[in-house]
Amino acid sequence: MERVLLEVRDVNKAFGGVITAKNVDMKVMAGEIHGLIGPNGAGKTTLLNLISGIYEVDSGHIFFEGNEITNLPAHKRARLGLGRTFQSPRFMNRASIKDNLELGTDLRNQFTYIQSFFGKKGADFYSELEELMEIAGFTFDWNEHITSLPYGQQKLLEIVRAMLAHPTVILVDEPAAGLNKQEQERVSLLLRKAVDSGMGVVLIEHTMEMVMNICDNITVLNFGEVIAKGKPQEIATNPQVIEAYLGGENDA
Amino acid sequence: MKKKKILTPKIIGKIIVAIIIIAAFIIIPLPGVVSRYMLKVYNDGLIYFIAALGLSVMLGMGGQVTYSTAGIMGVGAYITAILSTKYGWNTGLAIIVALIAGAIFSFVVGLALFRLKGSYFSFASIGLTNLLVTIFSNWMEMTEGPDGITRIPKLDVGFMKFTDFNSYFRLLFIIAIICYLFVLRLRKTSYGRALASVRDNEITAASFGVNCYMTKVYSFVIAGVFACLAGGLYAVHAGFISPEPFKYDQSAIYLIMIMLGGVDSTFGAFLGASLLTIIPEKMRWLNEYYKLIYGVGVIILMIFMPMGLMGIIDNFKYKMIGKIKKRKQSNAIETEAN
Amino acid sequence: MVLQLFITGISMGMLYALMAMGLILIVKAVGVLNFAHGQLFMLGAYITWSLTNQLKLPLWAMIIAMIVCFCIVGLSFMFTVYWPLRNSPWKVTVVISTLGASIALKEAVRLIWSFIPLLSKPLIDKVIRIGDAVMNVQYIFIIIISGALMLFVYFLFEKTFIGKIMQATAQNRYAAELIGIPSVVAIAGTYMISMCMSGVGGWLAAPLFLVSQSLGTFAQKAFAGIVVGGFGSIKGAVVGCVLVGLIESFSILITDAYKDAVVFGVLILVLIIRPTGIFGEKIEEKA
Repeated sequence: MERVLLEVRDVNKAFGGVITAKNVDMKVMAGEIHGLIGPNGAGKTTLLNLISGIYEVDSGHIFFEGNEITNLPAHKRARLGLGRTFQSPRFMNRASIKDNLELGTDLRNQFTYIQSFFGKKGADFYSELEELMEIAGFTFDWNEHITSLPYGQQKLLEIVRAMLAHPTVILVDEPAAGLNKQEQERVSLLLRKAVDSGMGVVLIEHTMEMVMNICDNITVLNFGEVIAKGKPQEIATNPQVIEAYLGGENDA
Repeated sequence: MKKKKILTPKIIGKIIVAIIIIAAFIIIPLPGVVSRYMLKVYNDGLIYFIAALGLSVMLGMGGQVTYSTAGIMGVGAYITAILSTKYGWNTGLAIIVALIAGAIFSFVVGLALFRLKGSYFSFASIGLTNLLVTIFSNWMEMTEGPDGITRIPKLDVGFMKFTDFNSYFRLLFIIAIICYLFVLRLRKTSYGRALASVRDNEITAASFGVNCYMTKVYSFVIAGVFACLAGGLYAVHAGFISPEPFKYDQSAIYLIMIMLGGVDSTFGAFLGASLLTIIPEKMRWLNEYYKLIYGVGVIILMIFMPMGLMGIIDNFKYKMIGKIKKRKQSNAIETEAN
Repeated sequence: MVLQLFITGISMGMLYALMAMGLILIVKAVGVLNFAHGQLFMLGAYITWSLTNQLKLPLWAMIIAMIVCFCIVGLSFMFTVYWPLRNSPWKVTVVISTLGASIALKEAVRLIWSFIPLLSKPLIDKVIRIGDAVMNVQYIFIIIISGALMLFVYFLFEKTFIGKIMQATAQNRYAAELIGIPSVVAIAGTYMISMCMSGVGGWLAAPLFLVSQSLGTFAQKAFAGIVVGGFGSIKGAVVGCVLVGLIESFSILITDAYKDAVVFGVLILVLIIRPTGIFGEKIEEKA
C-alpha cells in the first residue's frame, strides 16, 4: 500500500523575481488523494505545471514511480502515466465528444500513428466509460459537439477523459470551481473511484469542505513554500495555516 | 439491440455519391462532353486539389498556416522535370523519386521551421518559398531559370502511357480519390486527434502524451509529399514548368482554397480547389476587375463564413437535426400527455 | 566599395525595419500578423508619388497630406480587414482576410495607377563621394528619417502615457475596457501608426526603386528580419532587419542572382542554431 508514486524533492522555481516554488517537498502515495491548498497565488497551479512538465524547474528533482522525470518533456511524462485536468476545461472545441474522449484512450493505448492508421483496435473502453458516466451522473450523445455540453458536465467529462487514459497519478486542478453541490459530489465520487483503482490523485481545490472530506493528506502552500503537511484534521487546526488564510483574506 | 437496417439514409447517400463519382469518371473524359480546354482546366483543378488536401491536413487539422505549399510543389515538379529531361529517366520513376526526395526535404525543413510557433512559423515558411523560387529562377544549368523547362515527356508507367488530357483526367481522378480517402482515414486515427489537439491547445496536447513538435513536423511531411505528388503530376501534365506557379502568391491561393471550402472538412478542400480553378474561367467577363473582386471576396468570405462552404452546410444540417429532435421530443411529450 | 555596401545595407535594413516595427505593433495589439503589410508599403509609395507629381504639392504640404492619407488608409484598413473579425474564435480567419486584402490592394493600385512603373525623384538629387565610394544621398536620407521615425514611435510606445494605454489594451483588452480604455481607439491608433511607418518607408524607397507593385515584396524581407531578430521584440526586429539588409547588400560580393536565397538561407540557419532569434528569450507559455 505505502508505495510512493510521485515525489517532489526540493523544487524551486521563479518567474523573473517572483518566487513561485521554494524548496517544495511533496510525496504522493498510491491510493491517496493528496490535497494541495493555499491562498490565491500560492503557487499551486505552478507546482502542478512543474510536475506535469509544462514548466521546467530551476532546481530540484521530481521522481515518478522511483524514476527521475525532472528533465523529461511534458508529453513523455504523460505517457509514463501522469494525467491531468485544467482549471477551465480544455477540449478540442471543434471536435465531437467521441474524438475528445478518444484522445484519452489514445494515451492509454500508446499505439504508433501507423498502427492507428491501419486500424489497430485498442481495448474496448465503452463499458468502462459507462461505469464512469454512471458516477458522473449524466449521459450524452457522443457524436454531438463538445461545446453542446454545459460547463459543469464539461468539467466532469474532463476528469473522465483523464481517467480513461489509465494514468498512475492524476493531477486535478480545481475540479469543483463553478460547479453546483450535486456536481461537486460527483467530482468527489469520481476521484474516489480513481484512488480505489490504485491511482494517486493530487487535488487543488478551494472548496474547503470537499478537501477536508475526501483528502487523505494535505500539503499547504503559501508564497511558494510548504507551510504545513498532514492529515485534514491536523491541517484544520494548524495555526500557521489559519494565519495564512486569514492573512490572505485581510490582504484581499 | 435494434435490428440493423440495411438501407439507412446514410448508406443510400453513400451509394448516390459513389454513382455520381463513377459517372463523372466515365462521362467527363468522353470525347465531345467537355472541350479540350475545359478538360485541361479540370485536370489542373484535380492537381490543385491534391496539393490542397495536403494543406488541409496542416491547416484544417493542425491549424498551422503555411505558405510553403507552392514552393514544395515546385520541388516535386522540378525534380520530376529535371530527371526526365536532363537525365532521360522514366517519368513514373522520376515522380516516385520526387516523392521520396520531397518527404526527406519536408522532414528536414519541418524540423527547422517548427522551432517557431504560430505566426512566426508562417513567416519562415514564406522565407522557404522565396528561397526555393530564387533557386528555381537562377540555377540556369538545372532549371533553365525564368524561362522554365520545356518538353517534359508525358507520363509513362511502363504498361500505360498517358498522352492526352482524357487519359490524364482518369489518372488524376483516381489519384485524387486515393489521396482523399487517405486524408479521410487520417482524421479518424490517433494522429488526426493528436493534430487536432495540437491545434486547439499545445499544452493540453502535451498532457495527453502528444509530442507537439513532431506531430507538426509529420503534418508538414504529409503536406510536402502531397505537394510533391501534385508538382510531379503538374510537370508531366503540362509538359512545361517555370517558376511562376510555385511562387508565394500561389501558396496564398491554396490557403484560400481551404478556407473557402471549409477548414474542418476534407470535402471542403475539393470544393475550394474546384471553385477557385473554375470560377476564374467563368468570370473572364470581369477582365481586369476579377482579381480585385477576388481579394475583396476573400475578406467578405472570412467575415461572413469563416468556416467556409462546408461550415455553412454543417451548420444547416446541425440546425435541421436539432429541429427534428425538438419536434420528436414535443411529439413524445404530446403523446405522453394524451 | 565596402563602405558603399555597408551604407546601402543599413539603409535597406532601415526600410525593412520600418515595416517590421509596424508589423510587430499590430501583432502586439491584436495578436495577428498582417500579410498585407507589403502592399501598404507599396501604397505609401504610390500615394506620395501622386501627391508630389500629380498634385504638385510643396514638400511641407506633401508631408502633412501624406500623413493624413496614411491615417485614413490605416483606419479604413483596420475597419474592413480586422474589426469585423475581432471576435472570431479562430485567428486564422484574420490572417486569411489580410491575404485577401493584399490581393485587393495590389489590384486596386494596378487599376488606379496602371502597371507601368513610375519614376519618383529623390528629395535631393545628388551623389556624394566618400573615399572612392559614390552613392546617392537618398540612402543617407533613408537612414536619418527612418531612424528618427522609429525612435519617435519607440518612445511613444514605451515612455508615454498613450503608449502605456496601447500596451495595456494589447495585453488584456477586456481589462483595459474595464478601466475605461476603449480598445477601438487604441487598436485604430496602432493601425494608423503602423500604416504611417510603412507608408513613409514606401515614400523613401520610391526614388531608389521605381514605384511599382513589386515594392510589395519588401515585406517578406521584413518578415525575415523579425524572425532573425527574435520574436515580438521591437528592438530585435530592428536589429534583425538591419542585419538582413546588410546580408543582402554584402551578398553581392559572392553572388548576384542568389541575393534572396542568401537572406532566406541565413534565416533558416538562424532557426536551426538559435530558434529564438538573436534577442528572443525563451518564453514559457501560460498554462
